Amino acid sequence: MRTQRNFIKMTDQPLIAMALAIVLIISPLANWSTATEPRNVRTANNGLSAEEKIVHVLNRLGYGPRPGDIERVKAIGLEKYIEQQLNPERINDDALAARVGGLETMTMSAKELIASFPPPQALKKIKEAEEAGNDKAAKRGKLFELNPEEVKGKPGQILLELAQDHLLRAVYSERQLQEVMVDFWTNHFNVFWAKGIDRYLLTSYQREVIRPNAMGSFPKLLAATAHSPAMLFYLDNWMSIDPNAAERFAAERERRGRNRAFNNRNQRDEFGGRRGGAFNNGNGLNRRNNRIDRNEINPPNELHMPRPEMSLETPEQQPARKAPRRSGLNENYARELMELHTMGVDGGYTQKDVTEVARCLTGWTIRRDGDEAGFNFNERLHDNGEKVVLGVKIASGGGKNDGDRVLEILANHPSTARFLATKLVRHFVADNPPAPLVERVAATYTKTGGDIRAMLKTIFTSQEFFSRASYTAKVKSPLALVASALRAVNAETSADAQILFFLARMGQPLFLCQPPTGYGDTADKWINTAALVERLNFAVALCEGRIKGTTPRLVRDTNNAATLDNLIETVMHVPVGEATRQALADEMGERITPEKAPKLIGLLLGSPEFQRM
Amino acid sequence: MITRRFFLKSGALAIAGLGAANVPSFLQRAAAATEGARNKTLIVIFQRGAADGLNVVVPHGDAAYYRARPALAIARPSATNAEAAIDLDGFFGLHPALKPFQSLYDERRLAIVHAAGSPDSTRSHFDAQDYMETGTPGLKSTADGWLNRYLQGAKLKEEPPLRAIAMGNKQPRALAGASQTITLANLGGFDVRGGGGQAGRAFETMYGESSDALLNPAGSEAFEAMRIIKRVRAQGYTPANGAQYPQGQFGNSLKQIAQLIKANVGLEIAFADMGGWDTHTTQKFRLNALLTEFGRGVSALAQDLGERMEDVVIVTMSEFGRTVRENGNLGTDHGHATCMFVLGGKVRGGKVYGRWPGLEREQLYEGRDLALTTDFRTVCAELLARHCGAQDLARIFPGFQLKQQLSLMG
Repeated sequence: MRTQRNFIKMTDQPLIAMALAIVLIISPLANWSTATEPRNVRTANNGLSAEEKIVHVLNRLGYGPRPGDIERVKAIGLEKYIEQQLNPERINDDALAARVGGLETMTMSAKELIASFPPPQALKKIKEAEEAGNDKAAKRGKLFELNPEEVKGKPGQILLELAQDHLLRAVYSERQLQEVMVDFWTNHFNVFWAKGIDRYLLTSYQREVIRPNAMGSFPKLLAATAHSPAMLFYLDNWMSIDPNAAERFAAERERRGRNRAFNNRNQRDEFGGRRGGAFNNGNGLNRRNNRIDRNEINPPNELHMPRPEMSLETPEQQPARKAPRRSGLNENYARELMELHTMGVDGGYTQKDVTEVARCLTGWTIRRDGDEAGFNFNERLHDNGEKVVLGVKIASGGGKNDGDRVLEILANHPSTARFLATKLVRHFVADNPPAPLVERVAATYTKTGGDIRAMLKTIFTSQEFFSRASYTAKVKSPLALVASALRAVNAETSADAQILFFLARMGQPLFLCQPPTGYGDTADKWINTAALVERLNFAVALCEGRIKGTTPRLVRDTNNAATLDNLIETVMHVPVGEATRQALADEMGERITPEKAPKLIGLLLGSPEFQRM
Repeated sequence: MITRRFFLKSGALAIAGLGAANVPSFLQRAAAATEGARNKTLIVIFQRGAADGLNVVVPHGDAAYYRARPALAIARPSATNAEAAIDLDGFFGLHPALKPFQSLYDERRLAIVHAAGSPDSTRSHFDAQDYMETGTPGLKSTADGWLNRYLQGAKLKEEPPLRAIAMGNKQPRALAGASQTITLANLGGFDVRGGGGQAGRAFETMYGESSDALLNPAGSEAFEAMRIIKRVRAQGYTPANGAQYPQGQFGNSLKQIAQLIKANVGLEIAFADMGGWDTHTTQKFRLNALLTEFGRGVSALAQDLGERMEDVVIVTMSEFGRTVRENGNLGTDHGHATCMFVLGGKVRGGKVYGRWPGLEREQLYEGRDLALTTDFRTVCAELLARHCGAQDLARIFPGFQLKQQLSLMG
């Protein structure tokens, strides 16, 4: 009798083999069918799914997905998309240009801005003078480029447009990564708009210093900020002077008095200037008096500000100006240059280094002629002695090169590489930047001489970036929340003041961060009771159409055919927790209707899940 | 059972005298009641930017002061000079813009601690503010603030949501930590509007039951606070005793703190700050404006609170002071020690506390700044212990040895 075991004879084996083969072929195929599976299920190996990676990139390399963005990225492939974003100049951004084109002030120079939006007090004085028939004073106003007929509005308009431009670009630019980087560097090289003449200098700072350099070379960006009137004014370097300058000038004056111009016309004094004549000097500055001219260390004439805190002297002190003026070193910029812009507070510099750097940067000031407000190196104010910065000796007589050398030393310092790497990894990956990635990004900095794009690439190709730990781990800044909400609901917005006030109440008034540290980049900096209440209010107001100048088109387009799952997917692209789902279900009742859409979408935009990216 | 609240209200001696077992039950019940009960409040006012203590409380009796500041020094007290210092004790005087403080001082309500501040040598605003708020000068790794550590050590059975408030948009480091605190800019705006009035409820559920470890507690706190503040708002508010707060955010913050105190919501710690003290340039005008606002605000607060000031102590501080010598821009640069004001509660005012180190070159810190003779923690520890009843000072100010006793409080 045949046993069961014997039943499986050789002749059956091919059949079994075929059955096995079929099973082996089919089972992998089962994973390919995504049509029936929920889209954002996590994969078994705890990495991110293909779709999650796209959402992650859209959230981190930009300001969140708009309806259809995920499909668009899928169509070109994620790697290609990232590559495109790393090269924004190749991306057509005409639509965005049309949107911001109407912001007149964004293309104006500082000189034009003052003429068009003068400080109300200056204007008032001219008007008063004219009315009083005081021709001389009125003419003085005109001499200083302030013509009441050219006035277009108040200085606040400049701030409004700066903020509008920033937000509109975050929402509408196709060059999303570039906008993220512009915001990053704006914050890193923070300038407070409301400080004195910075109100007129910030626009060109954004346009000519930050934006063109946001994805290029960090040393170049650093140098650009160091030469910018905006930064020189904000951190007081424009008025930082060699402490010995006054004595030098006095000695010089004495020397001139003793020697006739003729005898010395071919000789040079120890500063390299010709002794020939009082006006014969390469600087083009007023050497007639050979003392520190008030104008050399005051804000440039066309930026004449009558308000005391913006000029060097109060009205009461002006008559006493006959007394010799003491000049002084100002260390503010030197300190922040190292603490905040390059090496970081633990970077290894000392107070002595701060002083030495300040000495190197004396004379780095703002040009004060009839033309544009720009950088000027005033050698008369420069401390030409020998300095030692971070152990590097800088020989005397270096002139402007002293400051250039400092920037070079700082840009090449390993602490700078690490400090920047930490900030970038914190921004793109996690509040607690994973150390191995920071090390690699710092190494990229050092290897490439500070290439920002290269550092970003190191981050975006890292497993830390695409990890489950990083996914939806960061809390959105107010700017990111507002921009991503506007994008999520396909909003049509002109970014009016009302939205900007929301941003301010959430804790991020654009361009109004007073301390040079800029805004923080971790959850605890953004989440507190008051800010949270504002986020909720914003979400509701946006969806109910209560924000002036903003229409949430998605809300308008939501109809009865939508299911709750559809809606969540369309707005969020990430799964929501049970609590959020339940709140929505309660609100929805039987079905979604156009009337309920505003409330439902408002709840989604205010949900804890939408606060994260 | 004697609760801590009763302890604070009645004073230690009263209870000690009775002996724990002898406390009548009706007193115990009274102690257990939290709503509507008055409690001690500590208000911390932070002057951000490094306030120039030397021109705020002027050492007019020190000749070196005048030598160092030919342009910026505040003139010696003089009946004919409106810009002169207001004499306090023959050596020190107040900046003329602090006129409202004169009567507070003369009435022995306002105390001053000079040459006070943080011992750390940093002259970075960011670091120094951090050190002063975390209460651990020199240590960057401290995650929480000293005020939060006080709250952690003084847990209540029922923590009122508005037990600790910071006025503003950003939570100050001093209040960061495990204990719940609330940061709000304005009582008025503190509500979720829209959604037919239902949005608030829906959000409350969402956050209250969310698994998000950060946003769940943040949300729950927010809603509880909203409920209470709504009640407080409904009562309306007019400052008492003719107090007039200065216009602007600072005055507004102080006014709302007074409002919350009087509403008996259990406010124990209040924090407000005022920026703009970083007078590197044209100090004379700017400091004048700052002190006008500051003086009006603090004195209005004291006036508004009136007799409630016996339960309230106000202390002011700044991250460091400014250089003794004026700089070339008619301002001063970052310095070291500065001055602190304390008033309210059982503070023994009418005196300038602390040892005056002098302003001769060899007496200066690093040859340039006012030297420190009183650590800010000495002041704060005393206030926490004597006014708030804190007992775990070593935990609130780790690594700090309380060596001196200023005896600021009676």
